[in-house]
Amino acid sequence: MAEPRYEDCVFVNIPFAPEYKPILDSVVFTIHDCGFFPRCALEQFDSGDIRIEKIIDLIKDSKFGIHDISYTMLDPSSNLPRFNMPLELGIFMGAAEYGTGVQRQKEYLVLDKERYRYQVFCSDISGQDIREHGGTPEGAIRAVRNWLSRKRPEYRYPTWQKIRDRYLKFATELPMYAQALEQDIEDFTFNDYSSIVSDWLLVNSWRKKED
Amino acid sequence: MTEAKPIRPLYEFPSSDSFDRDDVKVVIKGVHVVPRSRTTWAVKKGGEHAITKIFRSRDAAIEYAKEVSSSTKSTLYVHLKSGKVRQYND
Repeated sequence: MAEPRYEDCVFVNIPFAPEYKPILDSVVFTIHDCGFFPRCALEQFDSGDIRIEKIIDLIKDSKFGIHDISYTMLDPSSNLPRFNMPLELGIFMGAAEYGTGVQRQKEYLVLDKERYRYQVFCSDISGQDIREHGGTPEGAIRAVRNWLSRKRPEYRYPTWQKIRDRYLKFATELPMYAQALEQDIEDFTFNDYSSIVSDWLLVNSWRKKED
Repeated sequence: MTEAKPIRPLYEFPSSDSFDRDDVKVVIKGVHVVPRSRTTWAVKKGGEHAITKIFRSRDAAIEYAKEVSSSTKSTLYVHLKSGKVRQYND
């Protein structure tokens, strides 16, 4: 398969904490269902051993970025905040501002749990494209679908409700597929998950009916 | 105003670390008999054409699933309560 094009890649900057997995999974599904290609640091690393150079490469390869800055809790072991998400957002913004050529075409969406909450802890990003997801996959699907659909207005997109319904169906069926593949769903890597989403959507494409 | 074009094609994600992609597509298209409760079994076909039918015995569920898999030319998977999966190709 050919490498995905710059203008199709969406850099996914969402916390890897277990409580964010439903958000991450639903966003990856939505990106695929909108015909874009999700890129994530977990493509290359399954755990926290993520090198900043690799993240910079992924950002360089992606025209679009989705940044969830809602994880503002203190790390329970150190009692210090974690800054990875805002750091990667900052790198993305810097590339869009100071990069050359196609890098200047970069566009990004910032997600938070509640509207205007970011003004308390990250007020300098006021005026950017910031949407709330309410901490739910449904909210994330709505925000991501509505944002991505505006990037290519010449194409038709399913409604966010339709993507949500398909995602719920997929998520319900996934354990059954994992079992048939003799895999433990808990051991799925990002690539495992993303490839199954991609295959499920190819087999169950809503496009067939509308094209 | 010009009419909107059909959605752009999906990208197939290129790699998986743990399984064969052709197997995944067969599994997704398959008919699955799964334990539903201590005493009931469900026949499931996933995706857009989802069906779910409940049976009181596993044998009855398998008989129905065989008909569905035969008519849809798909593979039948029987999920045992132990977590193992038995595959029928005919």
